[in-house]
Amino acid sequence: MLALLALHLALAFLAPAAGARLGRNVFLLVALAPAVSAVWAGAQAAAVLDGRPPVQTTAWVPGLGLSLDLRMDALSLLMVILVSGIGTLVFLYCARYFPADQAGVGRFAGVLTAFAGAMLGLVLADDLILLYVFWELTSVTSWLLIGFDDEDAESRRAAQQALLVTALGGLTMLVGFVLIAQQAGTASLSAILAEPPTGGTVAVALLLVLVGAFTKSAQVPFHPWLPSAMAAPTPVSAYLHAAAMVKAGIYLVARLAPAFAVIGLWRPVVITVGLATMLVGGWRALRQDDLKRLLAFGTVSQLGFLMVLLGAGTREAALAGAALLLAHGLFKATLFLTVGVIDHSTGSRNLRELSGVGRRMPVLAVAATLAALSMAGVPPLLGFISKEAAYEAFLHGSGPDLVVFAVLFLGSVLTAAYSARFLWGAFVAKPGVAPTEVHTPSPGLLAPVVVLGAAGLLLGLAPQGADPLVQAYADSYGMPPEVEHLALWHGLTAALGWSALTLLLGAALFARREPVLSMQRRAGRVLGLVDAGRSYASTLTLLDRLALRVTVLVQTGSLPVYLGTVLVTVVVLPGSALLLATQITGDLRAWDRPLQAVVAVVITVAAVATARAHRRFTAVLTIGAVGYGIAVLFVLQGGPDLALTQFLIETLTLVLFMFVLRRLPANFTRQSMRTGQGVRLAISLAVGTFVTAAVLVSGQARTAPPASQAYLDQSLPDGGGRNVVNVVLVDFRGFDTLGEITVLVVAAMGIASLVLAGRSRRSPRAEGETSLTAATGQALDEPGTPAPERVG
Amino acid sequence: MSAAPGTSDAGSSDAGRGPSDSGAAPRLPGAEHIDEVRRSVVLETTVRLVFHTVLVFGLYLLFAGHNQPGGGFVGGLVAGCAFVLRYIAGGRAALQAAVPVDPGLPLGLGLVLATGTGITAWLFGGQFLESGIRTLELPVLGTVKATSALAFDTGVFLVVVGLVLGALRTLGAEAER
Repeated sequence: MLALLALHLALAFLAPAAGARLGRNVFLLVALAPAVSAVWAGAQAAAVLDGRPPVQTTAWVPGLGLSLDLRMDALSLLMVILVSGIGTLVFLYCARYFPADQAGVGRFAGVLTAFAGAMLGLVLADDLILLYVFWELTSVTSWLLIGFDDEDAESRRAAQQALLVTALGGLTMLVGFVLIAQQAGTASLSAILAEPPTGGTVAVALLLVLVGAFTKSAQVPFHPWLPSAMAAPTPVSAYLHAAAMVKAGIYLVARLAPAFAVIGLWRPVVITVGLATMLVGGWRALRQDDLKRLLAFGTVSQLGFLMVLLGAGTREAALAGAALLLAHGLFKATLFLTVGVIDHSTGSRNLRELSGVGRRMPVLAVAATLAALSMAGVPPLLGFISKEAAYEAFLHGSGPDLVVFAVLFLGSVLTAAYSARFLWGAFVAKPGVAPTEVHTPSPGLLAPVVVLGAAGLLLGLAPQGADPLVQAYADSYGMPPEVEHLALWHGLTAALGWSALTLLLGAALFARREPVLSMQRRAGRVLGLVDAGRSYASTLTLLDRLALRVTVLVQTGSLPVYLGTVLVTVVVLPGSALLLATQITGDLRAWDRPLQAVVAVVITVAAVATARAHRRFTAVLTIGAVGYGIAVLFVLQGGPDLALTQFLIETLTLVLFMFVLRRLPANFTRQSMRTGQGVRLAISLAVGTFVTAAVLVSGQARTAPPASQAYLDQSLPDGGGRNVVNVVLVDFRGFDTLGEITVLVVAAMGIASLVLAGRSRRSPRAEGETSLTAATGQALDEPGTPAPERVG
Repeated sequence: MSAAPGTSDAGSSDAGRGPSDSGAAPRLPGAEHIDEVRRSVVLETTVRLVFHTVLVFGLYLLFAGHNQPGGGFVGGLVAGCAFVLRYIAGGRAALQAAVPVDPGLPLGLGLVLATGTGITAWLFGGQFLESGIRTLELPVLGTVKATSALAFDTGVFLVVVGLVLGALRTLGAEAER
């Protein structure tokens, strides 16, 4: 399994380079990854259904107890079929969907492959943390995919919305995962499900996890990102927003429900949110004119349906849910790809502009009709079978079950109605609308659509094909005495009657579409007050304002305030610890040699002079005297290396100070000298006292033998040098030095960019000078150009 | 790193500036870009005299550092001071004439050298940055102990020199405006 993930990764990295050479045919190459995964999964199917799921464990970060645990049970297999099976077809479709000269096709193929790999990892992961990692990888890659058209502001906005919403959910989910793993004592998913932890913490954790699932699967009130994400290229919508990514939340709920549906608020929350989503999605889908948005809201609705079925926590509902999961992947991907073909061949996907497309593209029309009928729940398609099973699951229960059933029924009526609207809008010749110009799509574009559409019919006619898989998942709820199989014909049951009524009402709703639309508009004016899309926007605005407030409060831009804050923190935090913890004992000498005292006096005088200086120049000189004084102390202590360094640094600092001083006023302003003088004095004295005390205390706080002796002993044999200081720098602590010189390089770049950026803001003439070379004055290299003058 | 005359020497004596008297008294290459009244003969001559000495002293500290006071950092600072002198006496044109390279070059080279030394230790099966010591018999110098730490220290040296050059050019250029 790890090899499959590695294959995805390798092809994803290869794709940009291959794309430059192969053009859009690069998709045929990268389709290898999902295709191999699908074939492998198919080969393992027998073992999986037999209850022997393939398992693979690879150490990852043993120190943190992280490992790459992969496992494919029935539910994972079902998801792999969606992710890799449908994925392969979408990849093949891509190879003909994009224009031959599409720019950036290699990058796109790479990201799409990376997404497919992340999704595969997500459904195979048997470890909460690993699952989370893949979860976020799908968020990031989908952000790149939705924003593929990065020159379009709408795309970028949609991509950002999807990323913010799903990443927010993901982080919330991570907290939930950590809590669950803490309670269970393991992060292994199968171990947790085998012995589910209980208690209040787990109940809260589950709610947090559900937030993640809800955001990812576009449940109310997080759903608006999904319709916005339709800015993505159509294959992305077909793959991410029908078959793969939005199913991640559903998958998570389906994965956890057998063990956790009974705990806390799980069941009421999942069912309420799912039902609300189903209704909102269906209702909104009914009034869309853009075929893709219609499908997007339809997807939202169906995701709500799936959420209810797979989260309810009963065997019957789970059976129906698993069947619907498969059915939905098949029909929704078909429909999205259909819209892609229509858009590709006619240049429009507005159902008010399209007319008579069905007659011009009969093959596409048939495939799409199969899919739409499956979505509406018409026999003999897979969608019908799964909806029957869903009705069956709730029809025989008590009060709450019947309420759920009623809402599911209502949602299905809406689904039937918008399915009809889709078919009518996409294919039917409309009176008063000119027949749309169509250029015939290539067979390579149609083939995947036909295959997907036909699969829904095949599995509908022969549900035995899907039954074992679906049953195997439902068995995680335990084996019932009498197993209900998926079948096209259960006899004349109540569910069949309700199904017929669903279709009838759906047809009626479609037939009276204009009155329904105007009613929707009237209702929309009232409902518009609680528009989730608008609340997303206002949340962002609020966040921006808050950030601004905080920035204004914290980043005053005043150097004395920054410095004061840092120093006060130093005094208060470590300072109070110092006061509490230790007292100074032992013998203290005033000096080793009297000369030290003399130097100390000089340093003190210079320091006081610095503080009292009125001219900046004087202050720089006196502070330089302080530095040289300290260097003399080093000499007296017998540290030639330190002293030499200190002297040189002090000299260089002085020179650099001079450069800066030339641009500054000669004197400190009176005001800056006076304001808060008392406070500054107090802070300075406190810091001075603290540092002195810290040095005295830490010098006596030694508990272990000093490391210096070992350095002295090892310097010559190990480092090959007699100068211990240098051997420490380049050998014993070489890694530190490497880090330090890296900092130096960064600092050099920082100086250059700060100075040059400040300059280009002041004079637009110097724009574009951004490199280190810029300041060297390129005029020198060009004879004839007058050199820049020195301005005093 | 010799004080090769800058490429701009020939075309620089245009109107508005006094004719360069580089023929009469050898002075700092590149310094002719400064206004004649602002130039100092004493300073330029002195810098010409001590520049190489300071530079060589910096290199000496780099090589001697392993056994005596010194090392790449200190050596780099001393070499940097040589360039500071050059800059003070002749402005950035003189600096450019002395080091006709982008400061990014020593910076990058130094970092590559230091990191490369660490990685080389890997190649010989050691730990990252582990020292290797070889004793070589060289014709003139006699027995020389070469340590990989010297290469690492040279990297440090170059980075420090690059930093000083970069600061001189950016901050100095800023001050000259």
